[in-house]
Amino acid sequence: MFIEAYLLASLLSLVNGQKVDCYPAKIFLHPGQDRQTVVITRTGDSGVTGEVLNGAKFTTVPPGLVEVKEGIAFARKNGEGKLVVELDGKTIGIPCVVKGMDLPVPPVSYSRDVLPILTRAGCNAGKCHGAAAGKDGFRLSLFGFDPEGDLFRLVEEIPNRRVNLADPAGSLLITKALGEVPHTGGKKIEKGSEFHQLLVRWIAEGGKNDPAGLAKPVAIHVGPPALVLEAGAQKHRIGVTADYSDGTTRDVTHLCAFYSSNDGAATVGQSGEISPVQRGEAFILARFATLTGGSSVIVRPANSQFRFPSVQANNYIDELVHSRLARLHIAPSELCSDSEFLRRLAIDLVGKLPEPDEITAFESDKDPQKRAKIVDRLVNRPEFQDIWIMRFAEMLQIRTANGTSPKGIGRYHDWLRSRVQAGASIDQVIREVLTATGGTFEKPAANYYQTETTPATLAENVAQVFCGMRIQCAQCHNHPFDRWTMDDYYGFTAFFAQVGYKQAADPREITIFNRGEGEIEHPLGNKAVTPRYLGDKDLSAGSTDRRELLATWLTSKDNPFLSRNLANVIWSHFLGKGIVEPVDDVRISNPPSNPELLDALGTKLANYRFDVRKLAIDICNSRTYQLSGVKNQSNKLDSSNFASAAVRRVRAEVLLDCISQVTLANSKFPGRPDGSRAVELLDGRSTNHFLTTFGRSTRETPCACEVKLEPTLSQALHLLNGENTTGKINQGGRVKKALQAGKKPRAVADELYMACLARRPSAGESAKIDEMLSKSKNIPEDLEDLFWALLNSREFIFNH
Amino acid sequence: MIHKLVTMAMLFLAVTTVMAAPPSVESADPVCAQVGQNFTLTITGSRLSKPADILFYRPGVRLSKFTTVDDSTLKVELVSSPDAPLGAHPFRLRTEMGASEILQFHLALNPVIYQKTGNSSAAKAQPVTCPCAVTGNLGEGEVHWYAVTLAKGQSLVVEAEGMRTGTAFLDTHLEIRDPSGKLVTQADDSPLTRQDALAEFKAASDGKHTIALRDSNLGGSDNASYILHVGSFFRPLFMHPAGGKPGFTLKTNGYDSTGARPVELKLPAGAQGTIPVWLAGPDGQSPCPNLVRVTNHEPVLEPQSTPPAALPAAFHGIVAKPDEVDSYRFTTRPGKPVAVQMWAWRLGSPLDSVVELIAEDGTVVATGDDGDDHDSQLVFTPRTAGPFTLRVRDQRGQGGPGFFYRVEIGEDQPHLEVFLPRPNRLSQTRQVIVVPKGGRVLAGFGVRRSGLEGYAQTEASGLPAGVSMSSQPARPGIYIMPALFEARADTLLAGALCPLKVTDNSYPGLSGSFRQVVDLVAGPADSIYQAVELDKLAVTVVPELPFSVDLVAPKAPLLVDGQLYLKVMINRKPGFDGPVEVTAPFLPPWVEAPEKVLAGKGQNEVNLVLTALPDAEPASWQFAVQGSAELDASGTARCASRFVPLTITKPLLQSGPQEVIAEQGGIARFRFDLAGDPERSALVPVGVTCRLLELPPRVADLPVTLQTSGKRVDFSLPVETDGPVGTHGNIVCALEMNLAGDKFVQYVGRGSSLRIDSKGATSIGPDGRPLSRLEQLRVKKAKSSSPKP
Repeated sequence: MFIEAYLLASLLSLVNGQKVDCYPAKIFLHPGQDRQTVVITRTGDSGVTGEVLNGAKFTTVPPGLVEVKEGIAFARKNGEGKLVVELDGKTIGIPCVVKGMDLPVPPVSYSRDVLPILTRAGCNAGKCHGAAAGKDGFRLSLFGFDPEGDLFRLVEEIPNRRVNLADPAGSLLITKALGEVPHTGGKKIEKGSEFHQLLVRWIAEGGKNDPAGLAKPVAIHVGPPALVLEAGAQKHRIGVTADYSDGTTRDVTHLCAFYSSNDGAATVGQSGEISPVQRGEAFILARFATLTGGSSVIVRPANSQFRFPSVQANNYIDELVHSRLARLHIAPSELCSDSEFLRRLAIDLVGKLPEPDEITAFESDKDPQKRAKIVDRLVNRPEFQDIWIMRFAEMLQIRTANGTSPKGIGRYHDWLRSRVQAGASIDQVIREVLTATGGTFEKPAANYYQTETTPATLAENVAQVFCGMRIQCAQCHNHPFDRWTMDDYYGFTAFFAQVGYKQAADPREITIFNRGEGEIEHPLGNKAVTPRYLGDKDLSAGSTDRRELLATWLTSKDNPFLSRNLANVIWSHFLGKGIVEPVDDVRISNPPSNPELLDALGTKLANYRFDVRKLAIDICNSRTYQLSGVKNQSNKLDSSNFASAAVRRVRAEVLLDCISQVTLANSKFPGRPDGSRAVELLDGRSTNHFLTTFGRSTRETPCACEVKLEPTLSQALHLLNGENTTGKINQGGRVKKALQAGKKPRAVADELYMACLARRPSAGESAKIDEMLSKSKNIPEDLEDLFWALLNSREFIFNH
Repeated sequence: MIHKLVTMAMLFLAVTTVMAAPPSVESADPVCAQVGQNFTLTITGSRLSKPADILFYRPGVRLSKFTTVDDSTLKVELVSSPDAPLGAHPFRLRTEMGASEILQFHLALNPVIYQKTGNSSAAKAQPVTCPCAVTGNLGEGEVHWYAVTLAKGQSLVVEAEGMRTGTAFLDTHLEIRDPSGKLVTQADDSPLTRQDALAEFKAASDGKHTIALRDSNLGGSDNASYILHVGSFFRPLFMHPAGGKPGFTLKTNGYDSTGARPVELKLPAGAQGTIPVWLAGPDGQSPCPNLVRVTNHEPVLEPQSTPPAALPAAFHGIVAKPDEVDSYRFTTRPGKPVAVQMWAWRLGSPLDSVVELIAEDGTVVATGDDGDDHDSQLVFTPRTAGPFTLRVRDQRGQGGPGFFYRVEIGEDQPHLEVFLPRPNRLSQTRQVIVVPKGGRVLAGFGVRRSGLEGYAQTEASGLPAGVSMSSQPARPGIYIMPALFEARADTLLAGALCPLKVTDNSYPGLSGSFRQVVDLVAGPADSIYQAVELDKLAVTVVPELPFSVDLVAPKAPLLVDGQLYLKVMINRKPGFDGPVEVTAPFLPPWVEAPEKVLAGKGQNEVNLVLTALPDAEPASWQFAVQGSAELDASGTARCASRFVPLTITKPLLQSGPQEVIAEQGGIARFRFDLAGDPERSALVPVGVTCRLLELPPRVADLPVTLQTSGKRVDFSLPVETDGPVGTHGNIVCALEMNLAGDKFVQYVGRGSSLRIDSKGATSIGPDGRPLSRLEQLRVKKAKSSSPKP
């Protein structure tokens, strides 16, 4: 979508077998816009791009329309024609319009010029005057989200000091920025520079706000949108063009602030020049006014002789992953073994380990489709639903909070379980949750409105959980690294402004209803805010329950937010990492590692009517999912393009269930029937020491980060000393039972290996086991020690 | 030897007069018996070894025999008459030392079966025969399984009473499985039975069906008792219309899952309010009641076809569909407040009502959502006769065939009732009047009044022989009235449940009665899941106490902004010399007293100082104090004084505050000019001692004596050289007086202050008076702004 939205990449030609792209696709110069950054990019057979800065010749038809100097076209006379780029004997024409050269130079604009300069110079950054309390007695709104307030503080708060109309050049705004007087921030602009002149001219012209109705920027485009550079190669510029509300465009490259997401791969200068450093990927973020855009950059090793290996693509997933890997010059790992696959699949799909006899049968199965068959079998087991009920419960933050009673939470969880088991898709569940009306006992989905109760938090959670977007920043200021403004934030919050709460009949119960009245006030101006979908315009809700409108919009098949986000969540569950990572931090400055793959998965999920089972089958059948965790030379540094299997620590609930499973010892959880599994725990707050230690989500926030998968020392100590290893080994008595059933000690050892690690002991391990058994004075005890060691092995607690 | 005998005699005397505490009960098991049968309750608690009686709040059950197991266990054999009312029977156990807290048992129509240990799975389900009432205790995490054999097509109703037993928090959940083990229905809460589960279904096949009963969250406890009614009886989920006029025959319908069944109910002529009715059908009588309203409102049934109804009227309807709004019209008398009371949730309807009153011009004149409970209520005063339109809808926009309601509209009537305020929340502490033989005890009755502004007076009837009660009226605006219960010395140890009658002299002819809500199962915060309403006050007579208390009637008045020292005499019987705490539980408004005054070991007299704040109103009161002593480890014995007259009068003398300035080492000179009504000033006795209170440290506290007819009090108080510099406020002058041996005090000059300057720092004005801070600043400014020479 990002690339589709980019309007400039229209000039394509082949010059000496190489593809040449020119940016922008069209030049439009007019008063207030007398320049245009022109970027000529050449793409070779290898896919590597490079900027042609000096090798091209620029002329215009008719002649003299513009003059191109150092890659920037300047207007010279009115007219309409073409900018002709001549390169290696070939020419390309870029439509070019120049108007208004005979008109007087327009006054400097506060919003078009002054505020972007302040942002570009960093004056309104969070560490400077954009801090909540300002800096050194002068406060600006963070990144200029409050232009009116900033103008007041610049001009009126202390008259004739920061802006001195009688002595524009002597204004503190100027002298501080030039570093001519003591300034904590130091020198921010050069004396005599364009910025300096514009600021002085603005003050000289009265230091005024813009006249009402002045066109505002509505979008920016960065070109080229994607680059493949070789490490250490020459710099490559990007240009930024803004669209204004009156339909005009403007080159704002010189007014943008640029940031690189990965300086190790590529850095960016303040004029938008990208320097490739070493192999890797980076996203170059450009920010102008309240708008953000960017360009993704791949940096390959210089002079790479890489050839993508010939590997089979099992389905569309593999095709898109392989395509990406080929561009990155990364080869995928080999396929994993059958036992590795089965263990990985069982943990991911049903939260259990395969039983030894299942492993043996699978390994000996000669059917080439056996992997697909086992996937089909496992996704149809009830435990598959348990896993996703748990995941949804995390997304819905099902926990006792804000006075929710255990009964309400129990009913909420039971409702979710019954809906999933009845075949309800995620979008249906979300719709029922968002529009829930009634008592939290009688309509359990209404508990969603009790676990969080403020419109702001509800809106933030919906955005984060269902759209994967964190809009919290925009509560206080426009999002610095994303598109969301305060108007977006409060417009989205307004969907929850009329949620009513009242005590229900049971003292533990709350009734949720649509009040049909009540508004959210925008903190800037204190005016009632009209509901607005994310990325959309204000809408008229009338008397309709606003939550109905929101649910309809959110779960619409055409709304990419939900489907892509949920597809990403599902992908992350199986691959250990999201295509956008973290999964709930979708933003312009955190682009997907494989946008085409994310789009495809999102479209598939929407077409599957949000049936997780079907997408899980696609994913598990892909070669990408079935890769080995052993890396090769080309992918050893890669962690985001799914070139090898990610080794993941098994999440807390599943790990505890696996320990219970292999030790044959059930866990007992408060308020749950005997034999319940940890994945069935209904309340985020009902936990035990093991689950806490291993990072079970408390569901306090919608953040995906609540599930902690990082190994810690306390986890190791818990397994070494805790009741859940030794205690369960004793409680279940697996070893003793096997010996009593007549199994030979060595067979018992093999069974333990198969149960815990889904494999037999290696030759080296076998030798040690034989030696131990031959010297053993207490076979059961020594076998239990072996069992304990297996449970403490990394191979057991990781999914690989 | 003689000495030893005397000592032993004293010990014996002490033992016979020591009072133990009343019995305390925890549970009565089983919680259910079949009506018309003899049954035995096992009561557990403490101090149960000397049972005397059972005080039943409802008729139909009598005590047959006590069998004491030990001090904490008592078996009680009871006999139920065949016509005993079904449902809960609250009672108290009485011993010689008083009456216990409330417990209750239930009478069921059908045979009672006891749960057998071990029915913890479907395979071990306990067989039961329909119809029956199974009773047991559901421990934490337990699931009790029962098996019932049904024929294909046979209907089965299973109704659990968990919370309604009033024993413990038990939120029941029911599941019924067919012979194959398949879950056929489950039930949790219902609008009619609240947290108690009610399930019904029709058997699709012959065979053994199983019923699983558990707590909704697998909770439970050793005391969590339940009654499980199992049978094929008629169990209406609601009645519509759900009310009528007393003495009339109500033609209504009972609705169960199969639809409506016409029912005719003869409403008791003397009834007013909400009454339970057990409806019967061809399949048998419902094991639990439905509720019906009996009032004088004229019934109107939806849709209203007649002209606007005259008040009082009761509108009966059903919000049958989602978003449905029902409307009714009625006329009023202008200026007469009209009360609208919704009866829906309280009768077992799922309706979450909202009511709106619309004037003829379409304006909304009043709206009501939840009132004191989940049903809507409002009061409005119409300016015209109307007609007005009443609209009824569901707050959630829900509706359905069971969303029935009755709205009672009538002119707002005054209301009056009396109760015993509880000293502790969610507790039955001190809910029984315990009168010692030959002694008195104070109780405070609370009065709930609406629309009344007079003096409320309470009378008791049915008191134990030899016991009398005298109560002081509750004045307008005061909700508490002290009452003194007194037992003659020759009274027998006894107990009774006594009706009370309360009247208000501003509304002759109106009376109210005693209504006490006793919490049985409490929920979060102050919420109550199960309570029992009592209409009689429990009064017991217990053995004589080894002490009594007398309050000496004061001859001196309690002056507004003054104090009065009351003399309290502790009369000790030989052998008792323990400490006695004296309290004044009931004080006039704006009068304070210490929380307690302790008469120490052997002490026979204490002073209780009453303080009348400046806002106190001059008035005459009847006043009493109460003494309490810990006679043994099990409780507190209380004994009150008689009422004595207490007069609060206006101040005798008054004086304004003084602002005095003195230097360290100097003299602080206070001068209070006393003014007052000549007649009242003349009442000032001779020999008044005047004392300044709240003086800062290191300022001499030198009282002075006010001469007869003195109009001024002068204090000259030396300030030490290190007296604390600064302004010290809140100084007041106390005029201490005596009248016929009663000490009383008048405060004057309240809010006076003393500013202490360091030596030499005080500026003296031209009039020789020390200057205030402001005056000093003015002088300083005047000096600085004057032209320099």
